Amino acid sequence: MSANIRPSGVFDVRYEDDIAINRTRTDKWIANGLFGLLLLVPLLTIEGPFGINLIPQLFIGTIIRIAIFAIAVQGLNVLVGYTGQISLGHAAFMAVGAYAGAVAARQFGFSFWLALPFSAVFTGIIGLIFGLPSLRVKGFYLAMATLAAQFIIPWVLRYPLEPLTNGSRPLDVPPPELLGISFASDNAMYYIVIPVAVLMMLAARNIFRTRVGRAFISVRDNDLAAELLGINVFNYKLQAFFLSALYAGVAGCLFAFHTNSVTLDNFLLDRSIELLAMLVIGGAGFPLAPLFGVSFVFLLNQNIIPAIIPPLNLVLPSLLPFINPVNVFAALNPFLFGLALVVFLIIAPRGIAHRWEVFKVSWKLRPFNQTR
Amino acid sequence: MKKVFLLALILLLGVVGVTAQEDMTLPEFIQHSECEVDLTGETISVYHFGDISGSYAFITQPLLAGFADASAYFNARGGICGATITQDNRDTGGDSAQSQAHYDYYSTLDPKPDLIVLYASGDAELLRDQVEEDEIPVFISAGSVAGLYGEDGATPGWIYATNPLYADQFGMFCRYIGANADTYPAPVVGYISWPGAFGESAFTPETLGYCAEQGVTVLETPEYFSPASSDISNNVLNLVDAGANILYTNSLASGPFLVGKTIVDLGLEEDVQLAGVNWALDTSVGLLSRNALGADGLPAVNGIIGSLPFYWWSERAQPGIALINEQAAANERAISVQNISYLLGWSLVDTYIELYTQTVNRVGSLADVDGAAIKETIDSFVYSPLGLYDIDYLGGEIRALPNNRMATMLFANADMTGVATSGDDALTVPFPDGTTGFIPVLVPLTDFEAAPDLRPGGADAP
Repeated sequence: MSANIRPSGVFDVRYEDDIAINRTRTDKWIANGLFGLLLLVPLLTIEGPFGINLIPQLFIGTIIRIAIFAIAVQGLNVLVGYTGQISLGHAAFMAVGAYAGAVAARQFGFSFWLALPFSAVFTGIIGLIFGLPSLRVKGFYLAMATLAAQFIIPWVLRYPLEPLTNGSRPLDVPPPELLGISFASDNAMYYIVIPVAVLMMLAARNIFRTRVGRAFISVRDNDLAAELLGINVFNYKLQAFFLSALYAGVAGCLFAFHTNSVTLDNFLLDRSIELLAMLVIGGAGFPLAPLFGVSFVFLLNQNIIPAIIPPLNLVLPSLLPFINPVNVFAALNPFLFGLALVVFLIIAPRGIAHRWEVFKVSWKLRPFNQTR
Repeated sequence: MKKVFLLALILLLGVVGVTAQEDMTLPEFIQHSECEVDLTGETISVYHFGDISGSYAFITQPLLAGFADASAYFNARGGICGATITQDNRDTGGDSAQSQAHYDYYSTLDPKPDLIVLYASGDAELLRDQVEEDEIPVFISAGSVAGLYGEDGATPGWIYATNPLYADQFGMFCRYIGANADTYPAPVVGYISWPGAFGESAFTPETLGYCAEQGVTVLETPEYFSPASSDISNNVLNLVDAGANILYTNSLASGPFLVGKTIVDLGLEEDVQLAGVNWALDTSVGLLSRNALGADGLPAVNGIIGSLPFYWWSERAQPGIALINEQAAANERAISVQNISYLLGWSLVDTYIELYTQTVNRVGSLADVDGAAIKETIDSFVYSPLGLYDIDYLGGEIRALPNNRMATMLFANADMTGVATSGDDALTVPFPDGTTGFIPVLVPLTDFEAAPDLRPGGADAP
């Protein structure tokens, strides 16, 4: 779990100190400073107002995607990491959010600013419905029940709701606007996605420090014991499903308005599995897990592997003359991705966030962090 | 005497050397525009990203092989007015998030690409607005209405298909079936495909209406199965129980194969005709079927009918096809590579050469070529790359090729003089995995003709 630990020699003297997310002034400065720096990033790109090519423009799109998927995975973290439930239909909930936002904007004339909360709550309610089986089943059976969402939701969006959703064809989504300013470009959209993502991450972190969050954790650790302690397990499981879907809805809506287009192809079963993989890699149960997991998968898949494939392609055909160079190219991407995942899970089976916590605690407890 | 002998020997060696040297001029049938600007020392890249390792791999790996062989061939013969053609490929694995990431990578290169090559309908639909905004024209081997003409079906974008629209292909199929009532009496078509932008793109209100006009009933409820499916018996039975006697699939490689195999497994060979989009008539489909044989001992997909908008490997009288056959043999390309995409790889590189030559001639230098200049050329481009198909976007009015023809996939007989009538007289080749493969032969059923225009509001849309 996330260790909100004080550095050696620092003591809480007020209740506010005890409940603060950042326990020291330095922590606070670092957190605020990082957020400030994050907001500066688009200004330092070629398409920024100053035209400085200090940060590659490519990074903006990558950061936006990481932020959007981190929100979705945070939703999964609430459900899987903290409440111990499982969902194989998370991408379908993202689809609900994406289409709810798109339809609200197109059909009902909602502005993005209204469509976003609308799609979040709407998706939360849909998640609540698919969470109902969690009363009776758990484990693999619950996984199957949530898998149903992954099939039912796209089907409903594709056929019965075709007049609204355009069926299997893409649905154009207007870019967000505020006071006549369009957020069509990546640089502008960045200033919507990043603050929303930061807020959602902070909210998730706070949830776990509340009565509800502690109830989630007790349900995860031992639901029978939790029930005996007076916790309404079913009620809290449903709340977890609602929150999880709400996060997915926000992510889906942001995704739709970012790409200005929605198609069901983006929200199929493989996406649900990918989201789950991101959580496992990040370290389920840690508030920072989504950020680590999504960043790891995205950077590996979208930046690192594509960058190392061309030099490998120059070398491998001569090293492995019996393999067709074309086949080498086709095999390298999934091979390197799979290899990286396996190696990573062997080295850090509890996820990157766990490693980070170990490092952080060790740093804060210095010089008393020596173990025999 | 010795001197004469030595001289004769030198002359002989010289003659042998000259005759053994490969001819480094282009064959006469390839007629590019005259270069007015020398681009020697420059590089022109074919930028491409797509699913190289996922369910499209059967067609995309040969595409890369085609790019590679064609680039090497043309580079050895002067490239593009002296400029070297190179490849820059990225793999999406079929993931749209990856497509977006790779597009971001390419679109933020400095200088920005003048042209990109894609082949997934989903990618076209995802990136349609972005390529327009970034002014990067795209060549794509796909044809969904939404990708090429937008949500309303009436707004041509910056993406140009090198094959006919899938809806138009389905319409042409219905026209063919309707016109051959003797062979296909009371046709009822069941649409069975992959879900998603590609698989569902031919099933539109316009195609259904047009098919009805041709006397062909299309069942209103299509069946979709995942590319990862291994058993689609229920999907097939649902359609057959609803009255289908033809199953049309808008899928590729394992898709048509699985439908064909299921028809055989269910004992429906005599009752149901298999049909499909241009990708369904491909070597990959024929080779995948080598272990799923029908009652006649031939692969389950024997006799599949569908679109063939290009010249095919077996039409060697066509000089472009002859050249590609020769080069594939010289490069020792396996039979699995000798498919539809390898042809497209060659034709795209040839298209690049003509397109860039025309554009550079017009704007004056390679540095002045950008996406807008390339688009301007494409809009008025009338060219037949290696003679495989005709490119003409009618002055920028349309975004997909209008001509198509129908064909059927059969398998070569043992002495290569015709097609096999059963597994006993079929030509078989051993495969590295120990299995025996049959050699698919595509036999045209019609000549090239204009396919119906079935865009929403298109000339033939009811």
